[in-house]
Amino acid sequence: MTTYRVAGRRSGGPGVLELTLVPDDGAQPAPYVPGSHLPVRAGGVVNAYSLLDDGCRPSAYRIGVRRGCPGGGSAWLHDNARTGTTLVAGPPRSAFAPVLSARSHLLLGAGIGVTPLLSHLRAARRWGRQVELVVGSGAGRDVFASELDDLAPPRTTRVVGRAALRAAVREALSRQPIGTHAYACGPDGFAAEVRSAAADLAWPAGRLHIEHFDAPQLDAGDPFTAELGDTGRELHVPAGTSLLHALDAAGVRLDRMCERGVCGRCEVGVRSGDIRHRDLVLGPADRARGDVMLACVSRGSTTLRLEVP
Amino acid sequence: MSAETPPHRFAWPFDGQPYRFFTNVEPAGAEVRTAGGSWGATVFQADEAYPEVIAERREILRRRPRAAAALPHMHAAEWDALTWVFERFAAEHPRVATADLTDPSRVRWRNTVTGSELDLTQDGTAHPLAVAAHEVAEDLFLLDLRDGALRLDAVAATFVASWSSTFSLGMSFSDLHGPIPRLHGSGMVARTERFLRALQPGEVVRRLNWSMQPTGDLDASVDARHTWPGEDDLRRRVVADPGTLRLRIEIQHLTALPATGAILFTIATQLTPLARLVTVPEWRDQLELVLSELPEDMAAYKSFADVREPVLAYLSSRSAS
Amino acid sequence: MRGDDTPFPARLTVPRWPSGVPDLPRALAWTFVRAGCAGSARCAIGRWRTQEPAGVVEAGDLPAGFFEGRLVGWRLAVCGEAGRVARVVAAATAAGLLDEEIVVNVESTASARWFCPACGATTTVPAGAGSAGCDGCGRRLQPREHWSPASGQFLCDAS
Ligand code: FES
Ligand SMILES: [Zn+2]
Ligand SMILES: [Zn+2]
Repeated sequence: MTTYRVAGRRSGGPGVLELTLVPDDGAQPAPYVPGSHLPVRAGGVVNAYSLLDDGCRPSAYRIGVRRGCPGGGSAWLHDNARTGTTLVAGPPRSAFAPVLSARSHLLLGAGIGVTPLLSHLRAARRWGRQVELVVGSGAGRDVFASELDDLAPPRTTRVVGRAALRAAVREALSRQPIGTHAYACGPDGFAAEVRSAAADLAWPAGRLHIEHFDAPQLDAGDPFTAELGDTGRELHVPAGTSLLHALDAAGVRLDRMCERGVCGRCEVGVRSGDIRHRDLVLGPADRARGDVMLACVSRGSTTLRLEVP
Repeated sequence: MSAETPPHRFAWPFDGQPYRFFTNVEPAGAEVRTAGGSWGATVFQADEAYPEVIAERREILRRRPRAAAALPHMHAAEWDALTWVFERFAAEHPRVATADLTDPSRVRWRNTVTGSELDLTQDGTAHPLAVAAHEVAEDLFLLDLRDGALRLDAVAATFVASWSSTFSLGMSFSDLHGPIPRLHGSGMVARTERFLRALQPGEVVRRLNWSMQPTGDLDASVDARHTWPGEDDLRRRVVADPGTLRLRIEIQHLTALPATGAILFTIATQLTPLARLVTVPEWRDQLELVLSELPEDMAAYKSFADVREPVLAYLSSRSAS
Repeated sequence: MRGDDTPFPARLTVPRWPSGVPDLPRALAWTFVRAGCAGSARCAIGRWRTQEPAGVVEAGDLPAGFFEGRLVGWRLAVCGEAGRVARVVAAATAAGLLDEEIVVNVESTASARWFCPACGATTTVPAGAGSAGCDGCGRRLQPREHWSPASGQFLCDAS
């Protein structure tokens, strides 16, 4: 996690906030793949926000934040993020990237879902990609309208209202040259509509890419407690800290290599407690037994009693 | 030709334990101390062998142009790779090369060793990965997520060991590892592929691989094998003087490229005869342990099965005790 | 460290064609390609045509412009001889089709395509051949059990 400072705040349309973040230590922000999101901790929770630029040598990160339910991280940002506010965020994660082998790209967005598509559009312009855009918004609820005016490719359809968007999406899906990949981003209902239209038109699943506004795969996790073997020592593992590092701080050093849950070196025995496995090493049998875990990524969903010296 | 790596830079792969495959991946850039010296401070090698290795690289690319090949959709990823390679190399070896990347669609590059002065543009550069390969000692590979799998969609490689990168163009990561013993049953190829797919820009990781080789040729590809002496000849040579057998090390680095998310794989190769390695007593001991214990199928894959006896006899004759 | 003692041999990469005539999944349109298709008892074209009305193309190589004007939703089904089917599949993949968009039926295996590592040429040989001269450089080729779905070729050793 890195500390960022809010360097700019402005409206991205009704109910939408655009924030510009720069690393607080003055470093250059890391580049990111188009369509990436940034996990931001705000108001005590981590949410993923789409990055708006193409990610190539960025001087800052721009994110779009729609005011969500009261008490959520987005509402907190709307109410509290001012120029100079510091925020903690993880590195950008890519899970909605343009497919390099696509012959053409069809971008479908509803409401705030247009944000990762802006990133795709900038990248498409840079690399000379063939792209078509279909976006819809509620009446008077245009999101990032002027940026869209600027980036819209020759084939662009902008509609108002759910029914019009549904029809425009279906029409666009029905006439794409073979080799096209489609990318959809919007509220859950929109994703379901795109899926069903694509299925009706016999689109292979591999040509359709849907951005879910989920938490990133390796979120900070919840805090939990670990008990060290027979010593009776108790260790508090805060959110955002791995068990491996918490053990380090307590003077218990496990072997390690990848710190990414792939090498299996940081395996530790578990005597009791429920494990939230997040590694790529352990098989279903290991998980069912529940007596080992990989300390670099996995966590406890209850107190864990560990087999450590 | 042979570009021998002296022990003080040799990436010694063993740690006193019997060897098995595993996903031995770790973050890049940390220097590792060995009994003979150290390695690993940089991704790219620009040591005393660099000019000679580059000359051989260029000669092979001239003779065998298909050693650099890419599928047509890879141009963006190749450009992404070129800029990453040049920027990283210049940062690691500022006295050898400088790279100006102020405009992301243009690169200016000066290399005082090769004498190259390049002014390249994104749209005007036909095979960016091949251009990069002309300037670095590492083989370069690009993996792209296509049709549900990571695929080797661009290569610029002249120093590969006993496989054919030209044949493998377009193959999935899983299919191109088909011939390696023990990799599939363990789920390791699948696990490694999951790991690679999860790499994010900015992360650079590395792993070592090793094998044995009877000659000092950096180019040990299937594509060059017809120029080698026959198997029996090579075996006789090693039996006559086991100290000439080379330990071949691949220092592999992996990163996800920032603009496209394609995976760049670089391989630096080191080759050193046993005779030189056994001058480090700890290495001699570790080598004897690993080679005596290695199961037959693994030994065959490491090109060592049919000379195991004489090599072990040689190693024990060099024992200090 | 997890031990790994899976016995040799490792999985080899050889062609894995479907054993029976595969059913056609739903699509908006089809084209059937005969690639060395002999219309034998194991031929799929007749059965496919009862499922879908579709054009049939006779092809050793796909004609130029074959993929132009096709829309997503269209699929390709290929019937014929293994070596020639592999070649059509490789061409379709190179044109950007996904695995899901290609259905294959192999009626017979009479030929294989070999890749010469010395010169890069492709040599077509009778199926089951143990060695052959390279069409490109004349060197002796011996095939490995290593096949590329991307090119439809076997890797060889050249001597
Ligand atoms: S350090 Fe590799 S799995 Fe934990
Ligand atoms: Zn037929
Ligand atoms: Zn040949």
